[in-house]
Amino acid sequence: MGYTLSQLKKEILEIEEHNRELKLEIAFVKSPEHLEKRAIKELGLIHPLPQQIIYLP
Amino acid sequence: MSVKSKKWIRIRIYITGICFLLVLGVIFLRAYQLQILKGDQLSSLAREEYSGILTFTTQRGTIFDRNGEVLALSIDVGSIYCYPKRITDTVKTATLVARALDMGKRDVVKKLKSSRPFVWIKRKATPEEIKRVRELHLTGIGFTNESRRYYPCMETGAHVIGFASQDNKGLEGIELQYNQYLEGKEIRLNGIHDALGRPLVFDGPEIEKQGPFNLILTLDKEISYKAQKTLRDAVERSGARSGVCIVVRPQTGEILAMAVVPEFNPNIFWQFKPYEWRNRAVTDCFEPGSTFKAFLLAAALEEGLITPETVLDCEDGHYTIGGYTISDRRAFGMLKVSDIIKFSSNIGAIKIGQRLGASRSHSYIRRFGFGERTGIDFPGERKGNLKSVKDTSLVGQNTLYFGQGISVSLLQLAMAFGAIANGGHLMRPYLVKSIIDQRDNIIRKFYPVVRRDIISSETAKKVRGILEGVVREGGTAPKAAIRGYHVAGKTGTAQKVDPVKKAYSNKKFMAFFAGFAPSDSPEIVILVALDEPKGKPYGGIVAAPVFRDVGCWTLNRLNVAPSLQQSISYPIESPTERDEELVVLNPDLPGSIPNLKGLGVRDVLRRARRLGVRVVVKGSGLAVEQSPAPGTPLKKQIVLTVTFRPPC
Repeated sequence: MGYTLSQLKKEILEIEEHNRELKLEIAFVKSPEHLEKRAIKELGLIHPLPQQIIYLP
Repeated sequence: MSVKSKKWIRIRIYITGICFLLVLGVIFLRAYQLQILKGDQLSSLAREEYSGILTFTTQRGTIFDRNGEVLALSIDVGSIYCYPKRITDTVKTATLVARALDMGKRDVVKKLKSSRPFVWIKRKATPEEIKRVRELHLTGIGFTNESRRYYPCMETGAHVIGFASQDNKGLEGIELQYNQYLEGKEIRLNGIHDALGRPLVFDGPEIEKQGPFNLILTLDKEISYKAQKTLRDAVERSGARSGVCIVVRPQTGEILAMAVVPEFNPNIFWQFKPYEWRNRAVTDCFEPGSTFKAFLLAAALEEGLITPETVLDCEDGHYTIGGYTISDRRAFGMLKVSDIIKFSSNIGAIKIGQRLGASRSHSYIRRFGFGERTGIDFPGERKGNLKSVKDTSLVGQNTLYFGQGISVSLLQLAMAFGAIANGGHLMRPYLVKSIIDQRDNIIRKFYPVVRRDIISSETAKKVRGILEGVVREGGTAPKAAIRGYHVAGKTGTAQKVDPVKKAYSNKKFMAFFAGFAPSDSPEIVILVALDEPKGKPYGGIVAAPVFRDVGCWTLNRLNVAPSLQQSISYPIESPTERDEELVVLNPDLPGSIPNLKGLGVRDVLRRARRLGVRVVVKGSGLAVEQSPAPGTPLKKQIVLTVTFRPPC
C-alpha cells in the first residue's frame, strides 16, 4: 500500500517535470523571434503597411 | 535425614537464590544502561536503519512577463558521468561515447583514464544525447539529473532578467536582485524504506511554504522584443558603439522594456564578455545634452518666469560668457520660448536658465531626480554626478542649462520625462510586479511609488505642448512622429568628453531622443540613446526613428486608439527629415517659387507641374541648387533650373 503510494508520488514528480519541459518548449516556440521568422518564411506573411491598419473607434 | 544434610540443602537453596538474584541484577543493570543511559542514541541508531532522509533541491523559481509569458524557467536535464575504475575497455568505451555525444575522442579518453573516482563526461546533456549513450549499455557510465535554466526569449530582456550560474545562484540582473526568492531550497524529507532501500512512505514536499517563488515582471515580452530589434538595427545602421531604449509607463513607473545593445544570449552567457552583460540603462552615466532643456523649461514655466510666448534674444548665434563663446548650430535672432525648444537653441536655453538663476535651477534639477538613485529594484544602479552650485564655475553654470557638465543615468532621464508626461510626479521605476508562490498565491505585491511632486499638472501640460513642436515639421525631430498620434519629445546631441584630451570631442557624440505619446494624455515614455553614432550623429536623425517604430508598436500593443484622422498623417519621408541643416524656416509663400532643396527629381517635377512651371533638370539625386531662388514671385513663363546631386 505504502509502496504503491510512493511509486505514484514518484510518477507525479516525473510527470510534473515533463510538464515543465513542455512549458519551456511552448515558450521557445512562442518567442516573438521564432514566430516572426516562421510567419515570414513559411507562411509568407509581411508586416502590415500603415494603410492596412484600420482603427475602429 | 540428618540435621546436617537438611542444613546443606538450605545452603544450596540460598546459593542458587543468590545466583539468580545476581543474574537478575545484571540483567536489570544492562537494561538500565541500554534504555536509560544510552536510550536516545540507540533508538536513533535504529531509526536510521529503517528510515531514510531524502534530500533534494527544488527548482529555481520561474520568471514571467506581465502577461504570464515565461522569461526564465529551470528544468531537469540529464548529466553523464563515469567511474573510471570500473571501466574495463577504455578505448572502446571512449569511441562509442565520443560518437554518441559528438565529442573529441581524445577528450573522452582523458576523462575515462582519470585517476579520480568520479568524472563528469558531459553536464547538462540533451535528452537525445542521454538516450544515445543509455542505449550503449556501458559499464561504469552513469546518469543523473541536474537543473538547468533556460531563457526562451534569448536576447529579449536579457539585460533586465540577467542570468543564473550552473549551480543556480543568480549572477546578474533580476536573477541576482531577487535571488533569495528565486533560489531553490534544499528540502529534506523523512520517511520509511524497506530492507532493499526502496522508499515506502514519504511525506510530500511542502514547497509552497518556503519557496522558491516565481516572479512576475513589469516587462512586456512583445514590446521588449520590438525595442530590442529596432535598437539593434539602429545601432548597426548608425555604427554606434552601444544603444539603449527604455519604454516606461509614466503613471506607474512600470518598465515595459529596457533594451540594450550590445546584447547577449543568457542561455550561453559564458560565451559573452562582461561588458556585454551590463545593463547600460542603469549602470552607465552620460551627459544628457539638449534633452535637459525640457526640465529647465518646466522649471521656468512653473516659477512663472516665462510663458511659451515670451520672446528672448538668441544673440545671432554667438554669445560670450566669462571669456567663452557659446554658439548655436544655426543663428537665431529673437525667438519665442516655444521655438527655442523647437529648434533647440543653446543660447536661448541659457537665457531661460539665467532667468531662473543658478540655485533655483539646481534645486529643480535635483527635484527631477538627477544626482540621486531612482530606487529601481536592480543591482548596480549609479546616481550620476551633479556638482553643487558652489563648485560650478560661471561657464559651467551656463552650459548646464543645455545639459553639459552633468552626468545622468538613462533611467533617471526617462523617469524625469515621465514626470513631465504624467503631470509632475516623479515615480520610482520598478521591474517586479509581484512575487507569487508555486500555487499562484501572491506573496508580495509592488505598487507605484510617487517619489515627489515636482511641477503642477498645468505646467506639465504647457511643457508637453511646447515639446510637440519638436516633432512637427521644422523641429529637430520630425522623424519621431507616429502616424495617427500626437507625439511630443526632445532631441539631444551631446559631445562626449575625450578622456585623452580632457576636452569635449568634436567627433564623438551621444544621440538622444526622449518622448511620449499620445502627448495630451501620455501612456508611454520612450527614451532612446545611441553612443557614438557615425555619420550624422544628431538625436533627431538616428534616435528619433527608433522612438517612432517602438512607439507605434507599443501604442498598438497597449490598445491606445489614435486621436488623429488617418488623412492628417505626418509625412513619412519629407526632405526636412533628411538633414537637420536643411530645415525650412519660412514656409513657402503662396504665389512664389517654393524651396525645392532636398527633394528628389520626381518630387520636383510633380511640384513644378502643379505650379505650371517648366523645369530643367541637371544631374541626379537630391536637389541642392535652384534658380531662381525660392520666394521669387511666380510667373508662368519662368524656367526653373534645378541642380541635383546624389545624397552622400
